Amino acid sequence: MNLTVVLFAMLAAVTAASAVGVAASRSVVRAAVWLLFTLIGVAGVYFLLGAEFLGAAQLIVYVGGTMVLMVFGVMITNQGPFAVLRTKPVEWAVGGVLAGGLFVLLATASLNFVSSGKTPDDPLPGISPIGLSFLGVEDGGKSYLLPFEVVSVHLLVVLVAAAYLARAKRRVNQVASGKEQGTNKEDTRQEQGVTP
Amino acid sequence: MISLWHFLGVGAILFGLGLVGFLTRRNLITMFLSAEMMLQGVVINLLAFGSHHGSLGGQAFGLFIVTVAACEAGLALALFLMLYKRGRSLDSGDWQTVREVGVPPAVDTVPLPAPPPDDHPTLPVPGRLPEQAEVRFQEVTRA
Amino acid sequence: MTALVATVAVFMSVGLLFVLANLLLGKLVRPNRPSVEKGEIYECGEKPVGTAWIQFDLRFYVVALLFVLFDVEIAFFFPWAVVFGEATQAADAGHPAARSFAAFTFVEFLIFFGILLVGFAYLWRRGDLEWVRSMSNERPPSATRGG
Repeated sequence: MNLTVVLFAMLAAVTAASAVGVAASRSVVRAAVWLLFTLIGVAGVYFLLGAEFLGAAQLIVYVGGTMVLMVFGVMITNQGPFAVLRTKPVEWAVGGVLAGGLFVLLATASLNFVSSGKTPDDPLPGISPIGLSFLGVEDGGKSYLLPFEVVSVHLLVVLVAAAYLARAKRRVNQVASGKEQGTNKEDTRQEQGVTP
Repeated sequence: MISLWHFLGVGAILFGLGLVGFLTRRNLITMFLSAEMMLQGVVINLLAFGSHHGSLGGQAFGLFIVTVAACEAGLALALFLMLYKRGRSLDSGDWQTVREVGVPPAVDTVPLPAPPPDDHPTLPVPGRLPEQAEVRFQEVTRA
Repeated sequence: MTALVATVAVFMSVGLLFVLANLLLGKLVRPNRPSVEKGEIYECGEKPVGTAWIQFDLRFYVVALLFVLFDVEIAFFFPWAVVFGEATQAADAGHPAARSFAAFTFVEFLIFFGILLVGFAYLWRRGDLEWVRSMSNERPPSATRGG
């Protein structure tokens, strides 16, 4: 028993157990919290694989940012007990069989890689080569200059689009779809909209 | 000793459990959480192969995927909020009008419970700036 | 990398142990006399109204969204900063090519950040960053003053 094996077993157990929690918990809030632990465990796996910067970025961006966004989404849309939707046993069976088959397929496919001699403990390139490849220097590797710049455009588009979607708008016409019955607080809120 | 296979196994577990969650859930946000978990399984695979070959690609790809996942979360949740505003529900089965042409609508054998009444306190509604409102009120009271 | 993960694992387990030991110690030592007042959410304060499932306002979401999208940039700015720092150091050590390379990376960074600032300017211009407070469902202050 080597220290790496023990640590890997711990991290994998934490990750898999909280992934089971995500799949099995009925409440949205609990699923989100379980996903938080899954993400932390995955960051630990990244550290174990030698990708320190990716692990740190995962912790900062994913755990600290994206999860906050998701929890805000849950808080904004939550309707108490109605946030819980039950799943029928048939759906569990179908989903379980499909996912189990996929897992067996993936596991058998990845068993073919056992024979290779290299271990994942080989040192990975650090931050500096990543930065060089982002900035377009082909130093024995690939250059990621185009994705680097495209990502900024992507972020811009998401920023504008999501802010446009989430903005409290003045309704042009009261399109009463069949779902809206009775008084709707959101509608009155929209009519007194923020934007002039 | 830990080999590549173990890491791929963790990735496969995450992907499989995410698939179970995605297929069995009806709440849009839970489905989204499961999809994020599948994404994590994929990133572990990429990084395991990148580490196996001692190359940069896996890590760079992982960074891009983390970015894209954050963007995706922002956009998807904004869309969910809009859908929730319209229908007061996050049930994916409520949005059957956007299904593909030729696919019959799925009907619940047991109808879902009605949403509870919306009678809890909320924050003040967004509106005009206070000073503008005050000016307007003064005009109104003067007239 | 094993050493790093081992350090983190030791830290977390010691932290967990500390919390659990304290809780266990408190459970062993403290007397157990529950009452209705102690079971309230705020033992000395306002009575809670309704459930805890308040529907939060949409404005929080826009702020969180902004935070996340600018949080993501660390994944790209940090490698850039490392490269830029190394290039500047090399230039100070007397490599003329490093100076021009540092300038080149800085231009690339400016392009990246400039594109993002367009989105930020859009949000600022449209007033999404202003936390406006509504007076429309409250009594006007002039009316309460008797004006």
